Amino acid sequence: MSEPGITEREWQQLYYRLERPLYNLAYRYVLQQQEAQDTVHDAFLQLWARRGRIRADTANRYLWVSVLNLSRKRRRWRRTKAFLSGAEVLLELPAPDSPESNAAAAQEHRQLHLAIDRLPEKLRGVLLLTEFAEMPHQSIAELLSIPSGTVASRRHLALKRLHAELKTD
Amino acid sequence: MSTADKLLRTFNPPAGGWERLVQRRDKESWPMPVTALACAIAVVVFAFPWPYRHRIEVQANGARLVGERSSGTTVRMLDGQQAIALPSGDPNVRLYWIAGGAQ
Repeated sequence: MSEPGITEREWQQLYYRLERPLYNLAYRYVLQQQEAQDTVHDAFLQLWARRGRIRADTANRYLWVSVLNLSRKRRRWRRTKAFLSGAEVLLELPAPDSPESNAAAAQEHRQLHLAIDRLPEKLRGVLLLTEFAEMPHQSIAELLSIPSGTVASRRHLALKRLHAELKTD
Repeated sequence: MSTADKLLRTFNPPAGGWERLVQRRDKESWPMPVTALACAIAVVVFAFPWPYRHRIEVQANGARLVGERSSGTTVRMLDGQQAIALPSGDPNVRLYWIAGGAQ
């Protein structure tokens, strides 16, 4: 087991390796590109502030848990703000990355994101981590402090609900 | 998990993320001595007994006196104080020089 302490170089390497998957996790919670990036940055700044107390081999886990928790907080705040102002929660879709992307695909994409947004938090968290964290179910189970079998069953249930919801839309 | 199991597309984050992160880190982590020094300077500036403070108060009192007289309020001069009328280009404006008393 290594000593606590993360160097600037290790911090930078973690950022380059995890920026994209962490951003994608945060984006599915906050549904705004810049806010998703800010959420990832908040987690990296927290890690930097605690760099003397965290071991390099656990930094990966720390970042996933931080981004998940920060995203949940921001999502709650976004929904409260929308409720108080009476406005609809806006979904900001990234620009199409290929010329063949069309309006129908964008609509399908939007429906999928809104369906994920409507999932119960327990299912959404597991679904998004299994999508983006590129970790075995056992590691995700450790992150969430749940049994490994629960990860598989929650993912299965989440997919079933999404399928049912998208079929009725 | 294989890529075939993927349900969601992976997006690229906005460009320049690393630069923005480093900028935020440098901005938010001001060293403590600098913050402490800034606080100390602020305390010294506001707590220092400036020599002109009294004169400013006297001028403010004089301005109030003129203002109250022009609005028809009865104004009583304090013992030993004098109000000297000064020439004014505007008939609606009356200027006084307040002298004596606490000065």
